[in-house]
Amino acid sequence: VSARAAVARLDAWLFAPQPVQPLVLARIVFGLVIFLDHAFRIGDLQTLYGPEGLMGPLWFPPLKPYLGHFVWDARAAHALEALLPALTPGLVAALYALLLVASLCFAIGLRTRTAGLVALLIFAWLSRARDPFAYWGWARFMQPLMLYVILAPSGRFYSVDAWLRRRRSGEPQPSLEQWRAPAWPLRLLQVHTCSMYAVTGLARLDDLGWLRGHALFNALSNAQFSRFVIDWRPFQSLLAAATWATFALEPLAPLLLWTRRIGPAWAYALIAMHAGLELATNVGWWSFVMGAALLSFLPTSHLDALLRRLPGGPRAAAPLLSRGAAGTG
Amino acid sequence: VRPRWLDRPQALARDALLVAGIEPGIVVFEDERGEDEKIRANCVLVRGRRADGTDVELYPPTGRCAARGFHPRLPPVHLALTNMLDLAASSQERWLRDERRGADRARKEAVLASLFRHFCRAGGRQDVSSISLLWYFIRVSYGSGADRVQPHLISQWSCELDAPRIEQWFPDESALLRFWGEPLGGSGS
Repeated sequence: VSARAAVARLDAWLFAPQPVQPLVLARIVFGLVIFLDHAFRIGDLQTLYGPEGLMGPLWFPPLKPYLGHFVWDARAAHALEALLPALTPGLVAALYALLLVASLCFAIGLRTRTAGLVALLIFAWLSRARDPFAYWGWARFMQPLMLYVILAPSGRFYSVDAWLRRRRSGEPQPSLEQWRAPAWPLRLLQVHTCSMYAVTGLARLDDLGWLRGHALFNALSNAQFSRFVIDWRPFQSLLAAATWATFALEPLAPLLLWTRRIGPAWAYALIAMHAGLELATNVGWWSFVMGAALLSFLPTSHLDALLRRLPGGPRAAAPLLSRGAAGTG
Repeated sequence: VRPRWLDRPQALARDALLVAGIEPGIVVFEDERGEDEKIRANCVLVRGRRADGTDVELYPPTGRCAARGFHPRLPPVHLALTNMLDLAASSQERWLRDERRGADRARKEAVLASLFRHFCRAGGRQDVSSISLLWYFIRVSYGSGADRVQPHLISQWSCELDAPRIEQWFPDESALLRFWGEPLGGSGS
């Protein structure tokens, strides 16, 4: 393959129009995740984020220089905070309310890009500057993915914006075949997802807990993470099998998710793994975020079928050809 | 001696990954070090003491560590408290080993001061003059399923002086019991 041909293939891979169904669904999931996660925090609002809270600026400035690995992003978030007026309980409550409204608007696709950017900025400020200790890793991981979804035209389809536009112009609803846009936000989402599996999967290869099949048993037995803190010892064999399945699924994902034949099955297996973790463990919104990201590796026909089942979803007849989002076309 | 600048590219790469939210370890899956027991509960109890000697439970409201049963959701305040204490503890462990103690010690003190000042303020509405904090793990044996309390920190902070009164890291269980004044363990909810 000549260099010119390779560049052309890369160009097509990154910029040729691709289905945006995964990004539309990710928009809904990410918006709802931010909304629900923070709605549940309403009772602890000032304890977590207020000026007299656990990380309140009244007490906390001495720690900022020592925040170890919270380096660039924490500094950026603190710089952003310095632009705000002095933090008061009222300001915290106002920004919190704005976050709830913006995240819900992003989910339903009302002023999608503006709402998404506002929600992302407040979410990043809360989780990276105001109280990084009050979040799991999903919060940091989701933010770049959400940025890709904001940059993509994810609000052009299955959104209040699209409905309002059609009402004004009288245009018909676009068929699912027309849900297409340049591929690069989708590719960024896919590559980012694979990077996560590569880093986490490879880091476990020499971990005794995974090699011995204890990892899930340990997690489920710990009240910090488990939904059901019971004696899991009778289920150790089953949990060992699930541990080894996870041990294989994650490090191989960055390779196999891209293959046309195995990729969709691998994505479904990973979604099933995350669903199982969601049922059994308290790890924040990891499973929802990863599930939404993995949709980008499913055949578009499967996503079309899902979208048709959603309230107000597109009603056009399903195309007979299966179009793979992960593939080249 | 390995020059320090050689670590720089690795540190930059790690920081870049962290900014993108990609971390090699997920905290839910603790490292296993060949031990025959594991952590079952990460317990934090915070109690305020009034000037008249009476106590008020500040965290959790029940005054008991929830270590068994159905947990539909981990309270974000519990997550924040345990993460803050983890940071303070790792700093403490490094401080005990490391010659360059200044920065780590300042970090530990800042974390704990932030935590105590919040509870002094919250407890101030109930005339609390000092805060007692107790942090411990309940560890369970793989073989027998028996529980063991592993103390990490006992600490008391004077809200009036805005300074620590007692701070003992990694105490034994009897010191912890003397400090708290009642047997420990996990409750069923």
